[in-house]
Amino acid sequence: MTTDVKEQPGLRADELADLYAAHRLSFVRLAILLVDDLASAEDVVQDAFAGLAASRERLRDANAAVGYLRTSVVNRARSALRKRRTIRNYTPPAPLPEESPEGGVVLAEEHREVLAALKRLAPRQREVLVLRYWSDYSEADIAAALGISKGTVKSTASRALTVLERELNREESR
Amino acid sequence: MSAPMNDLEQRLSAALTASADQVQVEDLRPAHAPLPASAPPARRFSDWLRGLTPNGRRWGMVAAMVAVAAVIVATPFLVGSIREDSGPAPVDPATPATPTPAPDYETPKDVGTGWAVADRGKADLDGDGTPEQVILRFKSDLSIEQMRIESTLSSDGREVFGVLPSDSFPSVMAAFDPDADGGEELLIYHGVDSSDGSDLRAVDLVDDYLVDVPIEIGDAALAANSLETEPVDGQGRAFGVDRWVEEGVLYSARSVDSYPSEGPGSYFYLPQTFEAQVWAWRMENGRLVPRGQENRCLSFNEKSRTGNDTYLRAACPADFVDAVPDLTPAEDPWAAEGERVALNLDYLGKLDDVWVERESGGTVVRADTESGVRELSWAGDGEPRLLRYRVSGGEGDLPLAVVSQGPSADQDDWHVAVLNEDRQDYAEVIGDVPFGNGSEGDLSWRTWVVGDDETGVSLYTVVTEPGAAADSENTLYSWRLVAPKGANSGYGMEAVRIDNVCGDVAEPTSLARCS
Repeated sequence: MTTDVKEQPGLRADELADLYAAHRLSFVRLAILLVDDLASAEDVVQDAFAGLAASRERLRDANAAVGYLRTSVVNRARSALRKRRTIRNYTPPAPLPEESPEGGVVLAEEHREVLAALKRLAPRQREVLVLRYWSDYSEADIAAALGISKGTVKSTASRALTVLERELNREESR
Repeated sequence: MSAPMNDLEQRLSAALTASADQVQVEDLRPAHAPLPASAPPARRFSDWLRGLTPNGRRWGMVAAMVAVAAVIVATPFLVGSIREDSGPAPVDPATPATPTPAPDYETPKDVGTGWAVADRGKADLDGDGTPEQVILRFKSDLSIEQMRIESTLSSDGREVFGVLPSDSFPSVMAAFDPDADGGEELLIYHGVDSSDGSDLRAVDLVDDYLVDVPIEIGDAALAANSLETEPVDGQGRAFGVDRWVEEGVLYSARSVDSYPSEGPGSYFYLPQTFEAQVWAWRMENGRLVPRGQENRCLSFNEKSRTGNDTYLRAACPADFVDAVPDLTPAEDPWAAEGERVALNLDYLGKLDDVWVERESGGTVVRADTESGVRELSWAGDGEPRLLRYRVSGGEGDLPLAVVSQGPSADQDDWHVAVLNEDRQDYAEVIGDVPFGNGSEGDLSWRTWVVGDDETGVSLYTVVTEPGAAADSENTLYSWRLVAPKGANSGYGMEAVRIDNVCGDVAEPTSLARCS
């Protein structure tokens, strides 16, 4: 019934399925570093793949799909945070679990301190640091994913590290 | 990262890795790649999600937003009180006195026993008081066009099955009993479009088979969206709709009034309590049909956050009108000329100093940022003033400041200055709704600020047209920022009509929807 799908330009159905199998977990891991909880991270990634499925015929190069997904995950994570922030504007937020995903291995205290400080950064700063120090993307990749210049990536990362260090020092001095 | 990392970078990298590694494949929900649009239609994510978690988290989030709206919009403005009734529904499904005929069916071909499992659910198909496990299977090759439903009856051990058309990954929504015979039927998600109810199938046990029960929606609502997306009168308005199963009955509802379907957090426009047409669905003559239509006041049931979305239903008081958002003006939201305001223009850690001042021939707004001073000027008389807060809402969650300038607070124009790193420009007012305070002929308008940094800042305008019908002379709008549509376009401010309001426009808290 779907044999015609493979004859169309862009990303083929089997390529989409392969991408999903190969990259879903890593994108969920990226998303959870941006949105804090597993359910939202999975939402973000599934939405990103759904967006890719919807626009797959417009992809000139199937290899561009990973870049598309990376950008989409970051943007959708930011959007999810924005919505959550809007909700939190009106009701006191329920306390987040100390560690996520639920039931996961308890993080070491030193990691929790860093992650807590990371959460206090501005969204753009946090995105840059996650992409740079977890995803290990190049500055060009980060710039493309965030829609900013490489220079802005550098300056944002620099300022973000400064703020992060200040936040950690503040916590440790308490 | 090829450059060596310092201690802080190493700590950060290790913490991120540790956090990310907590997520393993087994932690993820079972899921499949969304289908390409040109194949059998891609299952929308919300449908996918519901399929995995009946009354799923996504809708739960929306519902939570609706519930949250209670905090901002509802209580102070409700005219009359709603008797919240969490007991049996006022809408009576009217149990039929005689058994309804079973649906017609053709003996299905027994295929798909080896297909992949899409979902499992429970339903007391044979009515013996013991729920059976029901398994949904689908062809696991991205070409879903059929599902197989199978179960083993607890009463006599019979194996029953059905093979039905499916547009996407099938999943169980709920068990219910629309023919009130004690044996439960199943509601199954099978489609991609939840906006009209066509994503649902009802399945009944007939003889040894699980067969499709045709659903006759007619003019009723059976959508799962919070807002029915079809515009009303071309004004970007929509009806609130929903469906849910409670105590074995499938209910659906459509709001009587319409609400803005676009805008900052449009769900927030759906009041916590609203009047709606409510249907209870029954099986008659082998078909699922909407019955028992009544107008009720619906309030989102907080308990449904646990995964069972329902509404409290009650009769509406005679003088009931929907609430409007919180319109309480902000206290002291303006900074005078020269006064510096700390705004986070670039979403970075450092706050930027922003101020307005008069210069020859006009006003200039300046921002002292880490990347230098940005400024924007315009011609005009009057005393400029600067909003102390960033304005939230709209497509562009980007730096902006609102400045107001005029001979007086009662007669001035407002300007939204976008002071982005890459763009410093005014957001152009889109449409005919005036932005600011003033009058022209019989028309007058008043704009004010609601909220603060903690709650979020919204801008409202009420336009008064004396001489119009008493219940329509005041129209309430909120404003949203519209992002540039391309390289050559700029930001815009768009007024979203909320409703006609009655009350004293000089006292926004007195405004309410006209009854």
